Amino acid sequence: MQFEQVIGLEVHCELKTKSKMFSASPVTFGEEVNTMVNEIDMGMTGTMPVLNKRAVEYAIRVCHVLHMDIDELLCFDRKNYYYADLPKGFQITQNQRPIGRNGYLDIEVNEQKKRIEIERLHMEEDTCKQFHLDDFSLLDYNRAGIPLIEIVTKPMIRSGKQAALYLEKLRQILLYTDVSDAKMEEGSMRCDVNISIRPYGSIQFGTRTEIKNLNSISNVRKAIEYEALRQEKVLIQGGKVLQETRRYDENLKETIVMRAKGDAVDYKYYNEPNILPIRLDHQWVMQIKDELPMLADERIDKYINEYGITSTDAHILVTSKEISDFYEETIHYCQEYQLVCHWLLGDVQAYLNKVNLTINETKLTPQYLGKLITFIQNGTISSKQAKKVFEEIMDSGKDPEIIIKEKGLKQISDPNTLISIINEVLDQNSQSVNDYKSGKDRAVGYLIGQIMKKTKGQANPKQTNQLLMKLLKERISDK
Amino acid sequence: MDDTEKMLKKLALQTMFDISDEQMPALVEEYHIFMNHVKALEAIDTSDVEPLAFPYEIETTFLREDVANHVISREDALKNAKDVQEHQIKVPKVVG
Repeated sequence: MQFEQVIGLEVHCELKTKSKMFSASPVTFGEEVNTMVNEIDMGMTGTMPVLNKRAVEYAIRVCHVLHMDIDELLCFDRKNYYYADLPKGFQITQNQRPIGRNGYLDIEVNEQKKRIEIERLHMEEDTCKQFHLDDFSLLDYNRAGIPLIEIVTKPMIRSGKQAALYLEKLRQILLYTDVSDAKMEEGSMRCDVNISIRPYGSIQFGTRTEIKNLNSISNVRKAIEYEALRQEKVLIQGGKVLQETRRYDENLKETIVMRAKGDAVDYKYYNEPNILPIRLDHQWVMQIKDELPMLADERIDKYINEYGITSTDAHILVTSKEISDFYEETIHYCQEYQLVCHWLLGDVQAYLNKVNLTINETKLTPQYLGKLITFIQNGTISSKQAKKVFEEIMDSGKDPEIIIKEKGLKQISDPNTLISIINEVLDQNSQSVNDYKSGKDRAVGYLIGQIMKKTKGQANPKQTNQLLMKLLKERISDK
Repeated sequence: MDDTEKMLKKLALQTMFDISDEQMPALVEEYHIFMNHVKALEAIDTSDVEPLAFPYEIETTFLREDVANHVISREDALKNAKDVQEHQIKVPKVVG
């Protein structure tokens, strides 16, 4: 029997606001434990939550990009459950009225467009971080209260590959709208999978399982592929798939039962009494749409159509938003669109790979790269010298203009200066001129070497070559 | 143990309260008193009444600017905790 996979994804994403969803303590990662909290995050009595405007703006940005209907009356609910990660004993979330409904995201599967419908996007607050040790757990509340959005698809994903494509596209949107770091390995983007299988052609859903704790897009794909196969085996052997929550074990490459549905909690949702409904200004909501940052697909179009970059290079440029941003800034300083692209994807990328840093962690600035490329273009330095200057920028963080001056790297491109140097060299090497006359081409290489030696490598190679050939031919015909 | 006691035990477990046998009779008595109140409330016809979550049905517009300007000291943050280890609150391990 052939089975079809029915998959829905729930993505949680931390917003990179300065302060938390309902309190004025800072949003941080990796700080000293329990130092980035205040009374509201700790759930102390008598405190009142006050909603963060920027967090709402970020949620609206994503709603717009995902073509969602936006509910301009914000309502919050309490989700009650007893677990140590919740300082208040409940989480403030949007259950009944999510800010966004009925959206979609198009992905490309085997060169065909597939529309993934998105059921809802809602805002909520993150929980505290737990460190599970042998027989007790330690709680760090720095994460408690960080703004989250949760994005839930309809169950219309049909394979692990489609799930991965959806997540990659969604991650790109979260990055390019500038609302989140969306790092799965650091937990600023998290994904839960709901999966069931059914015989092809069947319209009824099978019993689903939920997979949690997935820390990379590739693990989401692997977990789905494993779980679909596991459910298939159960059904083929005449068994029943149980409704349960499972987790993916990276080492075993299997999904493992965490809890059965029987233990499921009733969250006893009700309206959050401490937050009155908040009416958003319609003009503001629309203004956020008008001011959306340019997304990856739009950048690709611009690179190809306005800057004449190849489609392949344009796609590579946007795979990292940092690189794409760096590119956009560099071309303010230097309009050599293709050359800037080639430097970024070539020498710069090679350097980043070698030292294992991101571009913003290095000493290179868009202005320096722009200057460097301008110096190559106007003949001040050769491409070979440019590589030296580039290395020096990365080491010292100095302005390329200063490096060129300090190292005396300037190229000699003035024809009159070059002609007099070449003539001097030819006068001193009459044997080589004779060799050239009798057909020994390698004499040219020797002469170039002598010119470079005399100019300490600063002669413009292309011009030197042209002028040398011209002067050599003149001398031969003179004789 | 009668059904009420059984139910209360189960609820206590779910909400993570420990109830001793000595406490149980008092709780059962209170439960019956409480349920009588509920019965009185149930007698009221509410079929045409919308749920009311707030005393005033008003909408607000205020949103807080995104400024991080208030933290408390770690000592204050942890003052209410029964058990602290390495500046973190220590709790029994319940992996959920």
